[in-house]
Amino acid sequence: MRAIHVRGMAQAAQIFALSLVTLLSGPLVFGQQASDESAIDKPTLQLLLARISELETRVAQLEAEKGPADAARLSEALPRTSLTLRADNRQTVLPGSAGPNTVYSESGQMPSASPEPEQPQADSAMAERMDMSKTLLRIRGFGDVSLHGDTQKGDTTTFSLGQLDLFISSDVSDRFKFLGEIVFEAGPSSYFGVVQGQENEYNVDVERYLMQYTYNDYLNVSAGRGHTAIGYYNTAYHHSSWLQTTTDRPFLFSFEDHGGILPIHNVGVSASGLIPSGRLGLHYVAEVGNGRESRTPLVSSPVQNEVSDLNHKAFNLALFVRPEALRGLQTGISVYRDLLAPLNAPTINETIIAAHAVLIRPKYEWLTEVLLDRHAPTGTGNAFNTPGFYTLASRQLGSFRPYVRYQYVNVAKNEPVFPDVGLRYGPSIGLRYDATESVALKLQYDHTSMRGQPGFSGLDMQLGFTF
Amino acid sequence: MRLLTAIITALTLATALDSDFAFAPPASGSVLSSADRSATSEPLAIVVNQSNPTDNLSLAELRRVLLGGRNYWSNGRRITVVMRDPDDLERKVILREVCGMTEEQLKNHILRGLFTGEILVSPKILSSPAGVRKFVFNVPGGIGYLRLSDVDSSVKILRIDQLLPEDKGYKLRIRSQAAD
Amino acid sequence: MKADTSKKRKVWSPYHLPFLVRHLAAGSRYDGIFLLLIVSSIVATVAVFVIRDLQASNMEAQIMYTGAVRGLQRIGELQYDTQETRRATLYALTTSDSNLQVEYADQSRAADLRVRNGIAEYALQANIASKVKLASRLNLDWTHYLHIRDEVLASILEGSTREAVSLDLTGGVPAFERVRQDLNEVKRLYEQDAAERLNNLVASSHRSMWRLLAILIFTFLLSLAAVWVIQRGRMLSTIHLAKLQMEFVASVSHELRTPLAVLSSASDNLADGLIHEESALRRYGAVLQHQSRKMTALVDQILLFASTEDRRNRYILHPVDVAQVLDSVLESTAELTKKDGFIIDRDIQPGLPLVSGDPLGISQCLQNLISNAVKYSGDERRIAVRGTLERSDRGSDHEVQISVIDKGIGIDRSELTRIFEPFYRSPRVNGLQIYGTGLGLSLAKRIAESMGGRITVNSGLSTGSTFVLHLLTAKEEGQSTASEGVQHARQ
Repeated sequence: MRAIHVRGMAQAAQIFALSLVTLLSGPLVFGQQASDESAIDKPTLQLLLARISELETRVAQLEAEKGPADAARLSEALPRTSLTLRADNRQTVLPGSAGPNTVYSESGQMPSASPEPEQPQADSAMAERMDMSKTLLRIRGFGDVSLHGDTQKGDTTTFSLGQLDLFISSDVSDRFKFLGEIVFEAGPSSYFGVVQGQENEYNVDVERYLMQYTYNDYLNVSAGRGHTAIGYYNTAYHHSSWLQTTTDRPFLFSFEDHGGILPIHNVGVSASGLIPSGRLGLHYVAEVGNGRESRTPLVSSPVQNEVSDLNHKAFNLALFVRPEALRGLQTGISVYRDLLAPLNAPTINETIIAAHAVLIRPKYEWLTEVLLDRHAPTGTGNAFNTPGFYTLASRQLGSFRPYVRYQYVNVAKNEPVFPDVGLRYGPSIGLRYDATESVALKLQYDHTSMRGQPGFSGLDMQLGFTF
Repeated sequence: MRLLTAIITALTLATALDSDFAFAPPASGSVLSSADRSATSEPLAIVVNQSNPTDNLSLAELRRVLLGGRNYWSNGRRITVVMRDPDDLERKVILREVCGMTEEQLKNHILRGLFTGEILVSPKILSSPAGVRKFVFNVPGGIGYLRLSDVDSSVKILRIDQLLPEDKGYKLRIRSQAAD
Repeated sequence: MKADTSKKRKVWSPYHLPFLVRHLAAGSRYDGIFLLLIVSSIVATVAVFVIRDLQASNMEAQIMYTGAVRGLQRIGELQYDTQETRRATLYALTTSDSNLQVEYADQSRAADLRVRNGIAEYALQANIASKVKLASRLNLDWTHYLHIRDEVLASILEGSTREAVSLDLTGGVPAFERVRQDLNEVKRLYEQDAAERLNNLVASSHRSMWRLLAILIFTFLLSLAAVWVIQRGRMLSTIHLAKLQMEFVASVSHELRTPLAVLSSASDNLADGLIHEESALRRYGAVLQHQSRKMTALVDQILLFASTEDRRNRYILHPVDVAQVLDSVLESTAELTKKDGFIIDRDIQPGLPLVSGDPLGISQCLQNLISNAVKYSGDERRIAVRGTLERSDRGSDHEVQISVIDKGIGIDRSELTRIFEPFYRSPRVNGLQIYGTGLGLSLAKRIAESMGGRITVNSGLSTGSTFVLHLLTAKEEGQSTASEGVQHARQ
């Protein structure tokens, strides 16, 4: 019995040993699995988070590199290190910078984002605002070359360079716009018959220099030097000969430095806009400015660019309608008032009344203006009236546009301001050929009759262009 | 004086005989006859931004807007005109029916307008109907034109003379043939 | 009886057994494999729960992992798309071609739509107050930035680039900065969430580990207990068997001693020459004869039992006339029965068919049954022997039943199956001083089974017992089928 008992216990001991081995191996295996699982989770999470940080940095870098042209130009202007430092290392503290710098760089903004007074930031912000490439300055050029010959004594048949007109416009902001015309022209200036300057010598004129502010359709304000809103031609045509149909302006509207009698340019402030009038399309223009230089003989430019000779200002008010009923029609009236103060003469009240009716259609145009320039020297009770008009008609025939013009101005002999003009009248007939959309060739024949002088004819061939 | 009178008379006669000389509204008789309209022609819709308070424009007003005569909407937003490429059929229809100009004349008109300061900004050029749509969608002051089939809910269709593109008598239509 | 067995058990297990072990020991009466099955099923059930627990924690780990990946992906996409919105807007500044500008505008809008969708998704999934608040703040800030972005885009498209740039610098940058800070907050909350879930997971995995360890220990202990139980069962049965064998040896010795004593005294008397008379001599001789025959019969029986241990025991089966065999058996046991005054009632159905069997085997079987009936009749002196033809319980065959009926002390119900075990003697008969080898019934059973028959018993305490030998009827004349005793033999 004891033997049996002993044998049974021995077997039990064997089984015990086996079970113990199994038991101990179990938790080891299980523990391994558990630790593996946790081992997988934690590093992976860390890895993924690190990856996100990397991506953020890379994005910031790309923004700094590939952002708008500003950023590229900026990095040229600024020391390169500061930019790359900020993009690469979020923790980098720039010399003297505070927290917000790193914050901005993290978000990948252009470094100029910060309004901080810190040196590099401020510089970059200034550089940003002064970055010329960001202005929408546009320059459009106009010019012409002509061959002119006439029968007037003393004139030669000559090639001449017309005005080289650089028309500058810049959309400074949403509501502000800059308009300028810089004109290079050769030849002497002629003011009221007084010739100034050398022949063939180039000089520069800032013909238009306007800052325009648009509030809405009913109010536009511009300040600077512009064309006075007398009649139609002066505001429709400026210093580009290519834009106008004829080779030259009607002599009523000649420029001051070409012997013109009207104050073509004005330095001051002008307001214009629509007047709510339904289908009538009523517009207004109201101007105030320095007015024309009235000293004769002139010592400087007739347009008082910088200094006005009188405290008195010139005023102009124009109204015109563009009725919807007749497309292309514009008709209006303007009144200009100024006080002239010629040397050693009483002051003259100048009133210029102009009326116009134009019909501009794609196939043809018809312009007619009538003007009365009244000079009333104070204290005399006299008044000198200078009437003038012109009428122009043209018709589009393919690329050709024949035109005909008749103009007239009658200045009294004893006119106090511009007695040299006298009576002038005569037709012009011409043909304009648009070779391309930017180049026009014009051929014009004028005949001008004058008072007390023999009339003369002239032939003008002009190549006008825009570039 | 006599010469002047003669010239003026001649011109007046010439213009009177001109088929182009017509009192308002000039584009009333469109090139297509009513018979043609039922043929493969599609209305051309004038579209603006959804936020634009304008619902209706007369044809003359539309012309003013497109040619830069008007620069602001009634809500103060600046008008931004969107045109298609010069070769596109839609643009041709607009030029012919609304502006009454050729390409060159339009170009001159815009240039002159910019030169005098009347036109503030020249129209934007977009190549595709989708581009026009997206532009008008993104810009509160935008105005453009699309075939009716290209219009979707992202833009608002304007009435022209109180007519919608689907209505009878709507004047702006585009023929699907290339012939213009 | 139980007192006896407990006394006996105490003899073999001298140490004090704890409660559980006592019950386990009680269970060792039953089949050890059955016990093992119970233990295994308990362990299997618990293992199922543990596996479920493990699966749940594994699933949680998977969900956590994919959730982490997706969450980070979403945050990354949100951050990228916000940058993309701003970038595309500013790219429009680099060109004056309206077509390109519009394309950039499109890109910006597509990116901001993705951002808005991402924010909405985040808001949907926000399950705590801080997240909900953050989602709405992010949405507000983004909407605010988008307003500025729309103005910037409009300005760029209109051609007012200066306006666009200055608007972006003064308004867009701070607005975007706020959005960026909100996204950082999202990331921070997410990280917080992830850390929490990680801790939960670690804790739950530890829990599972401890549970598994407990289960393994429990299983181990349970297996130990089962093994102990099985071993003990085996030990007890071995002890029991040894006990029975000892009893058998004692019984045999006792059986042999009685005739030997008689022989010894008779031979002493004869050897001492105390018997002179012829009749006394004859008497003595008869006694010697009788006793030696008795001893021979006993030894024969033991030898026969030993031979039937061999499983290869074969009986050659013949068709046997039962009545003949029975008569011969009654004749051979007449001396035994008459001596004790027994009356044998012979009742054999006439016309019994021949049975398939071995005459010697059948007679031995019947001899055992009859001698048992004599031995255990107690005070009763009548024994009945019947032979009948009955229907077999198995199948449709008929069988011949030879019944030996006594009205003796009977057998307890609990011992009815045990009496056929070799060496088994009921403790009751030992108490009544009736001796035997304990082999008789087991022999008879073996012989019957090896002939294709069986023995059944019906008994009641003090009412007597009826032993029935069932024999199959002979199928054919001259059938001689060798049958292996192993088919119905029990070990």
